[in-house]
Amino acid sequence: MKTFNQRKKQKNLFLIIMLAIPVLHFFVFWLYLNINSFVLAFNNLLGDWVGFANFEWYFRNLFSDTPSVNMAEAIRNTVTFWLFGFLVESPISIIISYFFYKKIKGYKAYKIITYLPCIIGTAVMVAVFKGFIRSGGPLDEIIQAFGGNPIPKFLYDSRYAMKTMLIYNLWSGFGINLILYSGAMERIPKEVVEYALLDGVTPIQEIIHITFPLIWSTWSMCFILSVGNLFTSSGPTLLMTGGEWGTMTIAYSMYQQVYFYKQVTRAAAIGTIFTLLGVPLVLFSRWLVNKIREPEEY
Amino acid sequence: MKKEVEIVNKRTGGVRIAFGIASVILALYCVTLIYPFVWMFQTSLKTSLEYFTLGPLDFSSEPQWKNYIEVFDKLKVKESNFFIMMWNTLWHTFGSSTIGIFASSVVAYCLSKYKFGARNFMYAVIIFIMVYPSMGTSGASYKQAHDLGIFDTPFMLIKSAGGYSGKAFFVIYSFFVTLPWDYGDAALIDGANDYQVFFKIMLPMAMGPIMAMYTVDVIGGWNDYMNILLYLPSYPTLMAGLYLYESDMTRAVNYPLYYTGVIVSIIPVLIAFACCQDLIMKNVTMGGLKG
Repeated sequence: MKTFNQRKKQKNLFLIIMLAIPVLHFFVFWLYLNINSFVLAFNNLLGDWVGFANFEWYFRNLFSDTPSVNMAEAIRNTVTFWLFGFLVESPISIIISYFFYKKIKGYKAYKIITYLPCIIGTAVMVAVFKGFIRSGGPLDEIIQAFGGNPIPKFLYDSRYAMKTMLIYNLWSGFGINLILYSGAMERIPKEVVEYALLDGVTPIQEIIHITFPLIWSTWSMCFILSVGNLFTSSGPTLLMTGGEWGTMTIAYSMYQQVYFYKQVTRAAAIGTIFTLLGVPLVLFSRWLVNKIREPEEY
Repeated sequence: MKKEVEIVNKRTGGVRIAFGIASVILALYCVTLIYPFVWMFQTSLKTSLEYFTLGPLDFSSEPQWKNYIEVFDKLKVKESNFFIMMWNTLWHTFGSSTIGIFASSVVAYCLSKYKFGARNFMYAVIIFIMVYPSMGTSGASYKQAHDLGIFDTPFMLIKSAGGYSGKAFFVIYSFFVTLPWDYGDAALIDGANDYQVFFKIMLPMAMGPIMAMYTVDVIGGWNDYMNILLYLPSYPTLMAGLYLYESDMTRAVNYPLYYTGVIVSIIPVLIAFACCQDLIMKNVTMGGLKG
């Protein structure tokens, strides 16, 4: 039998060995990284202190008539993508999930097929989308067969590029939300729905007054996550247009500064600006969803 | 029970028609998701010349099945051919997922089954990392990878050890919390050490949630391209390689060959999905619950 002290020693050694790498990882790749990202924003590429020069560069590009990188456009597009997700994709997701939840004819197959874009991945989804909608491609051929006009180069024209990306997001982006929402709906107690149906509610009333309020905690979680990802998930911009034709976003501008121009300090400045903006924004959205409605307990 | 289901799902008159229309719309939407892939497959069987001479919906006069062999040799990005890209994808995907999920399991286990001084503090830190909206450290991260000398080397995989904070951690943690410690105690009294308890008793019992998170992680890793392009430029994976091949302006893109590559590269994930579909779908809802 081991003594208590021996056991304690053994236990501590185990913990140290097991947790050493994660703890080290945290210090190097999280704590140091985040602090360094802040410091880098005030440096140039040689490591000299340059004060607010990187921030000046950013705001010059924001307000200038001839910017080298169109930051105003990046902010506008980021907000557009987010609003589109919030006002269009999210309500449609809830409606489709409702149909899944009500076991619409063929819902099992639909559930699997609509989830496929999440499995297949952005690079491939974009490849097939671009091939399909290119001018002279299959979509063009189909439209012309029905007597339509030849389609323009949707992704290489600033009049259409943003709209095309929004349509792509709608087309390929339901998957995970449908599973989340229909899963949440299945957890709604049967009795609640039954009483309402016996009272003769229509499906629209049911969605508004019963289903949506009862999946509020899932929906609000997705909402807060979307605010958190607002400036970080650049989506398919690199694959679609490379930020050309009026499709620049904040997240992509950061990636572009690093990947193409190796301007790590400028990227760090953009990151710092939007972290400072992001903290209150996330806190506010958290406060807001709790203010509107406390999650139901059932 | 049977009756309840009937009431909940009974539909009459207008509602029935609405559901019928919705079903048709959903079916059409599913067709738009699948048909482009059928078209891509059809195009992958053309010759590079036929791609230009035939209409986009025409079939090749003679299906070029040899594209599916040539793709391994001819679809090249710099020095990497398709075989090398496939190898890069394999080691990168399984390497990063294994390290990441192992890190989550270890931390989840230690925090849920051991009482020690820093325990609550570590848990708080993990929550904080999840919640803190860091809006882009890619610049600093890029520079750090250079400073540490791991840039563009397989040692980049060490970054995956960050799996201790995230969805996988919480799913595995909540499993370990509910797992009784009696087995561990019994084994310790019988003379086993802490490592044996973890690797031989506790870890095998948690294989359900661990494999679920692992599968999701593998699919995510397989589809990653932005991190590969940024941190491992000499090791293009399939997804990164396909992007590089198509965006290379120095020569004409052989589209039938490119589409062949795209199709070959999604076959493994489709097989994984077909095998673990229930596991993945359930896990998405599970992860959603824990948030």
